Amino acid sequence: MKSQYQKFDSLVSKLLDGSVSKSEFAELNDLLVSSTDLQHRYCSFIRNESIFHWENESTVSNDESKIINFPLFSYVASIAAVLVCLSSAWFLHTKYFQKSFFANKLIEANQISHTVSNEMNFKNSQSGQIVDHKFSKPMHLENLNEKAERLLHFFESKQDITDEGELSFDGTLPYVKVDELLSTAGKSGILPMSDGKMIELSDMLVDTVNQVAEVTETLRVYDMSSADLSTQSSVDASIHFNQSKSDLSDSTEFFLSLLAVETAENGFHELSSTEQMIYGDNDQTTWEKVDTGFAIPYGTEYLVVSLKAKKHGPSALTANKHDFFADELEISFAGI
Amino acid sequence: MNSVSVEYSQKLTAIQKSLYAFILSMIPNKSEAEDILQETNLILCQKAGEYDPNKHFQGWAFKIARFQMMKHLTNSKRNKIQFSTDLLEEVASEEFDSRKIQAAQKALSICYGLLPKSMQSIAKMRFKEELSLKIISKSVNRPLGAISSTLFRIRQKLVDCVEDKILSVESEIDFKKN
Repeated sequence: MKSQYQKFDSLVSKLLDGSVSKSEFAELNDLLVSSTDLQHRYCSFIRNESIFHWENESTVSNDESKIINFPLFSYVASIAAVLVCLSSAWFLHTKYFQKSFFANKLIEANQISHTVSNEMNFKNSQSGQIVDHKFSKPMHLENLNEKAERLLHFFESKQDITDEGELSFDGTLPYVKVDELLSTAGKSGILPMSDGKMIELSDMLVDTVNQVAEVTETLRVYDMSSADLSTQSSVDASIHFNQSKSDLSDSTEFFLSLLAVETAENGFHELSSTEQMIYGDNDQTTWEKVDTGFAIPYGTEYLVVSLKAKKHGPSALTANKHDFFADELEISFAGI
Repeated sequence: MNSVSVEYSQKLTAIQKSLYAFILSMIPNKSEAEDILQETNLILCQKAGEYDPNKHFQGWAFKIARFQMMKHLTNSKRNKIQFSTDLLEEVASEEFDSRKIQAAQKALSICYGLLPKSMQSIAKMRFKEELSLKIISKSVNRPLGAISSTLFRIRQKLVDCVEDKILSVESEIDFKKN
């Protein structure tokens, strides 16, 4: 049983860190279906995770010391929940509930948590530039590479984009896509998933001192300025990754990210972003899927969809001996 | 429609942790779980008049949360990683009971203090500051895989320790109440 717990616990931990693959999830699901004992154990993991994430002081006795301080969002959400209920008759009778003070506080708290997360990114960025994100000053965006900025400027300037991408439409939503410029047929022992074409990522930039190699590709930029955004607007994205064979056992990190921006005085301002990572393996016959999504903040003018591949350690130094691929990008919008 | 009573609001506030844990167990993504929790809270307020005070509030709230989860999964257009909503139904009701969560919180506080110092720093960054593995990896200058492994060992230690202590903590809580 102990060895079974090891595997099970490892799968649950990966699930909670958002790095579980589809096959691993299926394995976890099978284990849960087969054993009530494991269901109890799984719930113990979840319970601990949720205690760390959320605290409600009214259920904690006075002599209990907090393990940790909980994020602002949890307090705002719980207080808002109670206040919403106490005034529910007024709220439920107005069709403007979505714009009510308390609903906006919940949305604001959500944005605060994104803002804090982005602040951490900025403070840890290699450029070392620290900017006060909360006051919406225009800034250098760590998450926005040069290619993405040029594509954004295309929408602003309406000039020709033929060398950088191709204008297309998702319904009435215009976007620039770069897929075709990066596309390739089967290569390095990897075959495309379905239509004979896949995306090949450019060569990685190698930092030999820190032994890190990475490449970022901007795939799509959507012009959201004409979209009818509401609090229900969201976007989901998924893509599959693969890589050519490597003699070293280290795996590559693959990222799919979404970035919501608005125009600002001297450039662009990030409203929100999300990024999901998955480890690639050394099996060229399988593609690893990663997906992500978020609520599109009100005021979003552009949505940037990017990929990144990254390697650490000694294998980073030989990163450009290998090829990295992506395929089957799917983007879907809801509530716009 | 009548305003929701203060008593109902207190029950709602008291159950937030249980509800969140229940939702997270089915949809193991924190931001989605938070969204669903908000939606569930709104429905619980709207349906306050339908609640029978003679029935268990947790069962009522979990039922509404389950419905919101199913709605969320149906509306989502991408192929998400998800459990069947009836997979953990029975066990979740027991494990996420408010009393059990209260005891687990106290046990977890003890167990967290027993973690080796090297693990505490990573636990703090992940659980307190909710930093991503990537940022933790940069902060401590260790590969992502190593951070992932450490978090696995931390979670495992905490689960085993809490399971070990929770019965005595529950007895202590009962003793203090009586």
